[in-house]
Amino acid sequence: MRSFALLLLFFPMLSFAQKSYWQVEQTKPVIVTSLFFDALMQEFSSLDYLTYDPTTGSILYYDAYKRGLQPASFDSSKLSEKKEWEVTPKIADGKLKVLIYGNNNNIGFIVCKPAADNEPAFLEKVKASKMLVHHQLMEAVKEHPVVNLPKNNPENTDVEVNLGAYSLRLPRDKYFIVRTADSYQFLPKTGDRPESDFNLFDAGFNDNDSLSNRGFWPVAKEENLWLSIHPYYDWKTKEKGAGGYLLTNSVPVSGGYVSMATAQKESAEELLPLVPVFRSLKAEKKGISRDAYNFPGCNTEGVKQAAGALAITLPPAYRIREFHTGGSNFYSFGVMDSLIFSSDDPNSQYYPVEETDKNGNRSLELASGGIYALKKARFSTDIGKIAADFEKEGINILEQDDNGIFYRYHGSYYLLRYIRKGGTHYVYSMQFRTLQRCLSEFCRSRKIFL
Amino acid sequence: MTPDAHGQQLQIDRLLTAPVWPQLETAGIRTDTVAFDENQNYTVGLYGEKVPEQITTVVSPRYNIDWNKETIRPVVYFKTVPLRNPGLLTDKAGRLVIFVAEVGNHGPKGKLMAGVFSDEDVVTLRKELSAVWGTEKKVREKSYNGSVYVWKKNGVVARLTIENEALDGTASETRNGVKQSGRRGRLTIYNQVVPAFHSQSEDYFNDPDIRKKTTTHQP
Repeated sequence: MRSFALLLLFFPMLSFAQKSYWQVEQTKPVIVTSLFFDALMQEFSSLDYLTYDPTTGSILYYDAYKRGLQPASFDSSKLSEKKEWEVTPKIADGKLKVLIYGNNNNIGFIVCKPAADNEPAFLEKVKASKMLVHHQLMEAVKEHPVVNLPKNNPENTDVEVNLGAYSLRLPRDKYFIVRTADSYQFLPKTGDRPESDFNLFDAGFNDNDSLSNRGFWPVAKEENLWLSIHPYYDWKTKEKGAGGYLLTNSVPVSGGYVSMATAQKESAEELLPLVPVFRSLKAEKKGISRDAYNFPGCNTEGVKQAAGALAITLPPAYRIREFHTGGSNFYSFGVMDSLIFSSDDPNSQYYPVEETDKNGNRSLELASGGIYALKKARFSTDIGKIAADFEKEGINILEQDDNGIFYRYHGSYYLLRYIRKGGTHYVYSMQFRTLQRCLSEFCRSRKIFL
Repeated sequence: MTPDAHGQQLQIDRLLTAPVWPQLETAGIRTDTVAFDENQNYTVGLYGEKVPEQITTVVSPRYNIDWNKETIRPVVYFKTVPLRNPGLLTDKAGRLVIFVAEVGNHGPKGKLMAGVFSDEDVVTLRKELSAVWGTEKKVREKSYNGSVYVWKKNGVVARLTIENEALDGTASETRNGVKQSGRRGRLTIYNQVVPAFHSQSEDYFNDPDIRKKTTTHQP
């Protein structure tokens, strides 16, 4: 009798209350209104595996698309930022059914069938599933049509540019090269896209070594110059292919590597024109300076004009207007907390500056801005402090010289120059639609203050 | 409609006449309870309506789960009609002041939503409501391819809004690329309170002229 009671006590624990091993059989959405919930339901496939421990209630999820055998914990906080999503596992009809109850409008089940009786056999299946996905991805790389990296143009008019310990041949006057903390960004001077075409990093390591960790595999190689694809495999349709392209190059320099990379693009065609540029990366100091490349043929001349007591030069197409404060006519321009130009302030003055076309007309494509003056004797600042203040506000300064900065803000380019004469602070600020126009006036206006 | 084997089902008429919490507890129904926020009327389907001040809480009963069939079982019914996503707007004492729910098939025509909610639910519900509270009054026509019906009796005002009433495939709404051509609606019941809209020109509850005219609503 006693042993029977013991049996009753332990039998359930031995047979049920232990970790069990499952394979996703299907997902069953019951009610779905949220796109996010719909996407979640579609994420699970029969390639995925779960374990369930009824004593702790914990579910571990082995995603076939994730590298490595480490499972992810599977609870509402992992599924969604919305903590109210409730995950309830239950073994019924010999299956593990995981109910995901988002709210009354988003409910679904993940139904799983038994996968194995023990951990080693289970992990073998998990491995096999991950290998299957990996194999399909590698097949997608193998099956990718041959890509021929283009040869250099023999009538090359490119310019060798010196970027510290290395050099790069770039199309003449095509890019504006911005120096950031650990990289150079190459912004096309023309065109509406303000994004960098490619970046060059003081990486210290061969960037190509880490590509596979990021899911990229080369389809064309020329030493360290690689064109890689991001292969995909859709478990539902069994389709596979290239989900994105990346061009990279690395060269050894003293103490490590320097690496360059494009952003991920949808087609190889978008990247092929950049191949000669990437190929030209050399660990040699030679060529013209970055400043000479950024501002070729810079002319600092202009027409003498006056804004109140300030004598300046402006391009011939620029004119200074009078500004009459009053009624609905007002202005306010805060450069920093202690340098605010405003029509409320009797010590502040504003002289609008406008670019006009050859008929004297204004348009949105043309530059506009103004010269601001503020009498404030007991205050001092300089362009470095102004730049630091802008950076603190999250504005990315693209270039700075001894009296000016230029930056991008809400899709436009701006330049700002500052000078103090006596007790008066002057700011010359202009807005441009394109980088090219901003660059040319930024360089010209280096000697604007006479 | 098959009766619920577990007895975990509530009828509207009971909810309207007795405090809701004991009923929910006895039936073993799980709920999500949030404080009522007048600025988020739309989350309970009360667009542009004046909500009585005594409402403090929104109680949303959760569906029961059918673990064998991997689906849900509705928990709140009006007679034989199952109600989708019911909401109980209650006062401090737990008395039901306004009841809201969706009805019918908000999905492709001819399919049962969640295996339960059908295209016929709204039509059946209209008949059931009339059986309890008398002949309906149509106060709007062809609003979103359907009509708005109102019943008034013994301090209770019920409104049923039907979308895609003719089930003629003119519904244009799609979800995840699938046409939501089913017939569906929304049931609102005001319990011993006078319903009203903020906009007087829209206030068909209290303006007899609006009910007489039943003009086409132009959104």
